[in-house]
Amino acid sequence: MNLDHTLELLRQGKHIPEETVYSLCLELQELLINEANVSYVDTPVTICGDIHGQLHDLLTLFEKSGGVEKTRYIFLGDFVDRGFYSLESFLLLLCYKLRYPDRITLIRGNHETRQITKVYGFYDEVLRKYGNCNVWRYCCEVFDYLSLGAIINNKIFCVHGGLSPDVDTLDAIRGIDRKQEVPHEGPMCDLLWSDPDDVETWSLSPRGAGFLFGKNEVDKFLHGNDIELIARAHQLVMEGYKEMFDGGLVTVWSAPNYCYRCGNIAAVLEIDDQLQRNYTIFEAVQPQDGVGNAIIPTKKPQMDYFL
Amino acid sequence: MHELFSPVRSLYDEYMARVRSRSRRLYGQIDSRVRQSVPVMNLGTYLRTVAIDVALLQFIERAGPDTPVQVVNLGSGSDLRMVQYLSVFPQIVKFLDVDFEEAVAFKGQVIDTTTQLKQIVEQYTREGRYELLSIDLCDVQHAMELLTTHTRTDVATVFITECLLCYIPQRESQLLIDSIQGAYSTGTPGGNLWVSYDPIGGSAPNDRFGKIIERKLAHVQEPRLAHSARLQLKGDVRSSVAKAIDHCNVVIRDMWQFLQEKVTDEEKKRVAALQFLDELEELKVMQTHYVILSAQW
Repeated sequence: MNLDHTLELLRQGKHIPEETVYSLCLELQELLINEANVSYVDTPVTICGDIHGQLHDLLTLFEKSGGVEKTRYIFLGDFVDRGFYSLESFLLLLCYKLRYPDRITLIRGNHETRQITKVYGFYDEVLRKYGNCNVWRYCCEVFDYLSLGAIINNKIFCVHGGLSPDVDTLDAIRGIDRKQEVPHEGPMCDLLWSDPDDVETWSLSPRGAGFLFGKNEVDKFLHGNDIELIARAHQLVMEGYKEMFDGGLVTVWSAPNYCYRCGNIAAVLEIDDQLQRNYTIFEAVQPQDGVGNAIIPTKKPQMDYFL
Repeated sequence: MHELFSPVRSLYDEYMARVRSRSRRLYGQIDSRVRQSVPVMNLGTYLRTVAIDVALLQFIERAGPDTPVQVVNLGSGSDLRMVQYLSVFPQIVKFLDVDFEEAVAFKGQVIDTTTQLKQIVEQYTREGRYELLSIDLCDVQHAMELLTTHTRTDVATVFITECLLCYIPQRESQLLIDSIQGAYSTGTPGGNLWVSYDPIGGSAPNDRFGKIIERKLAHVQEPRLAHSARLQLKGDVRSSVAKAIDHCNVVIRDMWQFLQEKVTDEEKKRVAALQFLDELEELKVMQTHYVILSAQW
């Protein structure tokens, strides 16, 4: 596999042969199997939220935030589903991970599962592009090896969703057997599905998986693990990022104009050596013809929500 | 509410099959939406339908079984709600579906080619309980002449407007509301009700999804309608409709509020079990940009 050639094809959104995807996924599994459930990452680092298959916006993200040649990145998961280029987005990140293993940390999101990708677009996208689901299966194998979280300078905990009533310490996360499909309940599920909210204590999540947690739970987790911040993604934020609980938690969202119809802006969070936070916001790639969205490969306009 | 829905699936299927044979283009538009089956869209459609039904049912219930009621669906399109309501509520003495001439002609032709639905519609038409009427609602004077000719102004009446007022120029929509309010008197037993479902937003500086709605409206094929729709949104339909339907008992909820406050936990669970929905934030953004308004006089 010629990695540079594959990267160039991916940046252009072009077709990648099935055998290349197979090799890439196999190599990634070998790389990821050696990573801990909670990866250690040094500053400076840029934290990125959901991508959801918006390849052109992912390219903008790299452009606006320095690029992988110069910058260290943590991606908080949800690389696939919803957008039209889930495969290319995910493979681009895998290629970067292979090329620069210390500069890219990939955390698993709740969409990196077989069950969810069958409903929300990635499975269909692969079927459309290859006529069979082999490539989807290869990617799902990689999903099972992705980390569950990351810790920056032992002070900032990164996770896709949030906290779990079954997890008081980072060591508890380290003890999870992560190499599996995301279960419907339990700590691994909660880390990928939970949301912060204005609640007194653990509450049922309207999503049907994970929990809602409030300031009390966040303060307890921060204090108990001697950390300053929980950085997570998972929820659309129209302004790109949102700090909560006196700055103890931040949601970062990196898919601008989500689903090509929400109108939101996106953000990434740069953490410098002094653990200072610096947000970079960016807009979606504009449609090229002013009417339809020329980056949508089906040549059909994305379904508008206008009832 | 359940009895409204149990017998009608086959009627809707029959109607859609006939739409297909008459207009592949229209059928394709509807069918592609159904096939894509995006959970936020389906839930939005569900909420819109339920919100109208809740308002309508509450009105009928409050009026009581012995009070005659009329329903006037302005801009009814292909809505077949009349079949359900006329079969369940004998106190509905008239159900009037109103739309542009082309829309009315199309609906009439489609119904004409059905079997089961045609029989039902013909029966209600013979009884004088159902009528499909073409009216250009932008021509308010003529519209009022027709409305008052084809309905009684001394009977408790519900007016339904679903995504209609945003397409009518501000001056005409105000005139239409004032005229209807004036013509259908307050003294009727049961009173009168206006139920309106409309988009809102676009006026606040950081209302990004509102801007998206505005942009979509700008591409409405009829330029006059697109322009007025944009004007309506700028003025925020939430306030303009409320102001227009003045001196009434007006209740407005955005559809997110409606989901939270009016849909029971049990019903939420039932709906959640039908289709997995992960995108709660997207749903909230969308539903806070639509309102259901009930104005009683």
